[in-house]
Amino acid sequence: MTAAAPRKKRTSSSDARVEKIGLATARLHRLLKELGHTRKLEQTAATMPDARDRLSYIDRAMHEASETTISAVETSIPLTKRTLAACAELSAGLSKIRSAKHGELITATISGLGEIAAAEENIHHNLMRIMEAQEFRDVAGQMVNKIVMAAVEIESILLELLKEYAPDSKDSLISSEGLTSGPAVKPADSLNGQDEVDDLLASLGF
Amino acid sequence: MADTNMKFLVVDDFSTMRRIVRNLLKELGFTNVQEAEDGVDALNKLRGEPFDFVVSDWNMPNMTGIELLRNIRADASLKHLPVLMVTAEAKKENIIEAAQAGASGYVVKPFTAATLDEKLKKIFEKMQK
Repeated sequence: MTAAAPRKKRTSSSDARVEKIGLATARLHRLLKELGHTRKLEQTAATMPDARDRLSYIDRAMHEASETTISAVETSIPLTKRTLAACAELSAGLSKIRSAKHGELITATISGLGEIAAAEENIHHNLMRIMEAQEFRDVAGQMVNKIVMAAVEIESILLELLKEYAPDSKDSLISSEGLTSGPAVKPADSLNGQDEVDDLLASLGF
Repeated sequence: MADTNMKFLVVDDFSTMRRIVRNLLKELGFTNVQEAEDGVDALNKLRGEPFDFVVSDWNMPNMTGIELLRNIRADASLKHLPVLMVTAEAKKENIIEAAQAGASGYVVKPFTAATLDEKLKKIFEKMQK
């Protein structure tokens, strides 16, 4: 019985504090509701998964485009080298021929081969520039990733706020669309490539 | 002129970048190139077989380029390896940090085959001295 008095005293003082915090929270909650902020928070939070998906799409599209570009350059570079070698070889062979009858034609051919070789050198140089330009993917990709991470962060902060101030709002719906789903979810109604488009058109009788 | 048979290890977490560096090296005549996707992968490869040259990115998961460089310099069997840092980090403090950790050269992205060629030649010259 002796211990009961101080304990009761402590409980009542912390009760008062809890009550105060509760009142302040309720007041803030009411204010936010009156100002329509929970609705805005909800809307803002709901746009985040979409923003993330779009950024992921951009990142993927950039990646695919530069991979395709590099592949095309990789297969083209040996072709330019082969053409250059063939031009040099043919020129050397032709210049050894002494022919009174075809002398002019031989000279013209050698000069033509020289022009082809010069153009080929240019193409080779440009192909290398195209390859080097693909480096943009690295830095641009890192930037997109940083923005995606910021969007995730903002989304989780907004969801926290929503849970605190509007526990009865569509909180669960948003979190299932938002935080738990992975990036770049393909909308159920979109198709995968030309084949699926053609199939759909065929099924519709086109 | 450097031996074109020398074996390179290109370290970058980003596959497109590894591909570009590999192609630029090929353009300069170096066709003996292997790849690693981060510092941990690179150290395993370096300890598994002999290499002559390391070209490494800075920002990578698991082990960054600077940590890889420190590990290489701290390893008696690897510390002689030339390490060229190829990175988007152009901050003064990064460059100083790399130099102090023993980087052989520093190339800032984006770069060209000509820049790579120039830095490699500089490193080869230093190695011969």
